[in-house]
Amino acid sequence: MLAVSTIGILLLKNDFNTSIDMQTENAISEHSYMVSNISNKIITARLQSNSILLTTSQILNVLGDIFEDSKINPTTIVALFNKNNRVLYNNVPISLDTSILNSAGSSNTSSTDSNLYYTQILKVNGRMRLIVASPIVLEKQNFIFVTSTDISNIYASYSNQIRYTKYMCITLSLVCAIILLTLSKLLLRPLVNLNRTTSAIATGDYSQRITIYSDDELGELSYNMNIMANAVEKNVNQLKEVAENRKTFINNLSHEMKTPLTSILGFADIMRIKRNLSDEELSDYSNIIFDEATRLKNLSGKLMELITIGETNLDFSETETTELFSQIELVMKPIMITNNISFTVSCDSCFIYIDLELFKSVILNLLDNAIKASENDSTISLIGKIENDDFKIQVIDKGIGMSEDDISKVTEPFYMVDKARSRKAGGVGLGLALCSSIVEIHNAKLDISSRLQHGTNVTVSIQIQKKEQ
Amino acid sequence: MIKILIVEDDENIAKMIRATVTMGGYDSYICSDGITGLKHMNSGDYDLVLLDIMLPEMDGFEVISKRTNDTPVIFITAKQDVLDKVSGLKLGAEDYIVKPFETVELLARIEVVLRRYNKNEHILTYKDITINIDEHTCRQNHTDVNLTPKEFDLIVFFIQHQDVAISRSQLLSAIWCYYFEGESRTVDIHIQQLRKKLSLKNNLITIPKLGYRLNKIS
Repeated sequence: MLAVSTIGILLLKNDFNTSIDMQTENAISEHSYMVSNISNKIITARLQSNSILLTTSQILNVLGDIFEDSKINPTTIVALFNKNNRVLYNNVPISLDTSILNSAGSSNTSSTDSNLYYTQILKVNGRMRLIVASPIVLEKQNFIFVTSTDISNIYASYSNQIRYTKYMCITLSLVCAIILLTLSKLLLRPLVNLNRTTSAIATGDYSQRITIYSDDELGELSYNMNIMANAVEKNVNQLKEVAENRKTFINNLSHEMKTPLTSILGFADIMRIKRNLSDEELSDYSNIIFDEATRLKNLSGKLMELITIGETNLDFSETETTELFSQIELVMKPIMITNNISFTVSCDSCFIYIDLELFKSVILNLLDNAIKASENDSTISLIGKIENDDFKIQVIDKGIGMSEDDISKVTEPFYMVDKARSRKAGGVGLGLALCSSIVEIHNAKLDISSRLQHGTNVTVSIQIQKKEQ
Repeated sequence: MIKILIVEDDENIAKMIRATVTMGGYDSYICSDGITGLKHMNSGDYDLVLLDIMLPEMDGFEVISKRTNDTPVIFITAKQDVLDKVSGLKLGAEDYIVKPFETVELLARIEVVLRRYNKNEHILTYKDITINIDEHTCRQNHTDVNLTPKEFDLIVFFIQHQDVAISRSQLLSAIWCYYFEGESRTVDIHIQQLRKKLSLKNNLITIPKLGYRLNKIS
């Protein structure tokens, strides 16, 4: 744009200079025409007066007519000076620069060449004038003859053109700038969008995704960024969930610890400060303190198990399943008898790779839960059977069962389906949470199905260890 | 007699609270879930409700927001969250006690709330001493006894908690509103003054390692 406007202005300038030159030439030719006209008139006047030489005043008389004539033509203003730069005639008052007269005058004395013209451009009364001066010799006297031409219109048209060019340039520049801006905005839109989305993700809004506009490299980058954002969001959500679970766990734990503590502290305080405690009160209160302290002990024991389960050195070994089941039956049989429950055990024989003590505790826990859910005279079965590559251990009771909602929450720490009942049985709500952790480190699966009033079926599936014998 | 409703799902805690309020000389009734608790609360038979927050069927916040009369409520909860405390008090509870708590603390808080509702005894008697709480006067054998304000508060507190051993720190927090020990000399001096002024030498006794107890006249 700058180049175009510069060239435009230079061309205009050149054009202007040419027209000035042409005007100057015109002025000079007119000037010379007038000079020759003056010479002719002088000669005619000399012949008429029959004198050898005309005097200055006679010359002026002759020239007066010519000057009067030239008044009609407004473009040409004529003046005549003698060699001392004194004005002899001036039909329009112009204060001429003396330098032009001096130079005209000085050349006049030494030279006989009558084709010397001096030009100057002057501003007179707000109009530009081209002044042409030349020395002339009339009747052996030296004069300086000055003509002047109005060239204002050239200047006016020049400045008009310059202004016009300027406006054009500015307008064109603006239009170009707008077009360029829009174009670059359009082209950069995917990038801007990408930038905005990534910075949103960077500030923590992990759900933001980049809109893919095109199939090029930018589109591919956006696609990859989206994959990255997905991964980040997933991880962050997992972390949040872990933190949330931990918070819930701690809240529940503090509640579970404070409940027995409140009873213990309260009754101990009463026993301490009350005067004349009856024997009945004494035994009642101390029994409650003992029970609640036992509950705290159970809680801390189970809690330690749950916490250390992933950290302790696990003692994995190949175990024969019938051997495992007979060990369990040995422990559970007397308990089932005291609870008046008929207990059936059946088992297929195979090998599984387990930590015996931990795995036993899972089955014992499940059986314990089954007892807690069962009435007297109910039945509980423990079944071990081979299904494809898995060994399935089922604990089936005909107890009170639980709802769908309970099944989904029952492995959460401290969740108890029937709080009052569970507490009476000495439960702390950590049994199934513990079981599911143990089952998890054995790469096994824990499934619970249950119907209210019909009983519960808990299945643990673990991979069978292939024996090559 | 002042009747207190205890809404608490843990059987042993409910029993403990009952034993505590019985020591304070109040009658009590236990509800173990929110819905029956609300029903009893709305019957208007009770002067005060001790309400647990985590309750089966309906939690304590819901119970208090659904009550139809202005029976004063004190929350008793294991939740130590400030937010829980704020929302409990916003719903109109008079106080908020965090489990576990001390027996005397619970009794003192109940006493404060009952006094606020003008449900406490105005005239207290012990032996030949008669105390008028409204007039702030103490008379023994029909003659006025001059007590300082702290001494007055102290004898009122002891008469309200007869047969209960009260530690120096509990007295400090209840009467002087201090929550640190080390100022226990203050308590001792006031007790000595009380014994002398009201001739309680054989009734207001020192319990070693615990504090003081005003024995009930049988």
